[in-house]
Amino acid sequence: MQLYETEICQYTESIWKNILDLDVKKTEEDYCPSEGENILAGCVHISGEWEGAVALDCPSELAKKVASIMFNLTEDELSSDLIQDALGELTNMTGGNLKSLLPEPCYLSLPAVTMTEYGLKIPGSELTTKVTFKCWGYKFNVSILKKVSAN
Amino acid sequence: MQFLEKEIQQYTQLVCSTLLGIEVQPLPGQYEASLSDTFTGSVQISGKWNGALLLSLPSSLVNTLTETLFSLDPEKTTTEDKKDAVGELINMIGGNIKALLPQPSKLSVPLLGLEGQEQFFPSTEMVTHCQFECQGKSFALSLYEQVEKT
Repeated sequence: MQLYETEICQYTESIWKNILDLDVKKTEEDYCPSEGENILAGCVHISGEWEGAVALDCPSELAKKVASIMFNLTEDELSSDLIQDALGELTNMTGGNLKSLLPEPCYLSLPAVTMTEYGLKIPGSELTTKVTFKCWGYKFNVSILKKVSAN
Repeated sequence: MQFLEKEIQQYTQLVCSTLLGIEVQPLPGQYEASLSDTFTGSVQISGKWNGALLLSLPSSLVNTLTETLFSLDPEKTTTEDKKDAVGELINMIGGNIKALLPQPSKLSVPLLGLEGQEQFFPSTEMVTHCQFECQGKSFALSLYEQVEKT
């Protein structure tokens, strides 16, 4: 069992259900985006007694569907700002819940959202936990990255 | 004058000069380069003040800075070297800027975007944009501050 894997599952399922009324389930399948596939990756940093980041990366099509539900708009009505807002909000809620498990005091950053083909690049940190979920046939990852001490 | 514009200019010049031995000069106007040729690094500041600082550089300048920082032969830089170099630069500039902001505030580890990977900061607005010239190429630093949702 990876660090906080149970809590990631619990929080993710709960957030997606409460905010979007969507059922998401952990899957043992890997989320390996195909070449050329656009991924939207949300990230919040945690600084303080514990240092690292929480990331949520998903296909841009899923981010669009999520934004459509969150803002009650059709996919055609969505701007890219709203899609980024939606993913940022989900990442922020997931990170906020996970932060409460970490040693205090810790600060949660604002979310950053990246459009990428390769996933997030956070130098000086290592992946400690990655959980893959399935929603509407799309897969997405929720990850914890911990800062690696310099020495 | 934009928020902390002078300080961002001073610290950027200072960091480039002391870390790399390279002179940079402020340039008026907006940095405009294609996304496919821009490498980005950002750090988030959280606490009493919340926002992010974003460094945007053209690929060719990233190569030059990486070669200088790690004393590498031209064309020998790897993507990992470039990530480390841009991460180090934004970390140092961000650390200096954080010290000017209301405390306590914490600086995050850097987040990097390779060419073609744009970074966005939802719930913020850009409060300062500074363009610089370095060895005939331009790059930019942008400061984003959290916008309270009404």
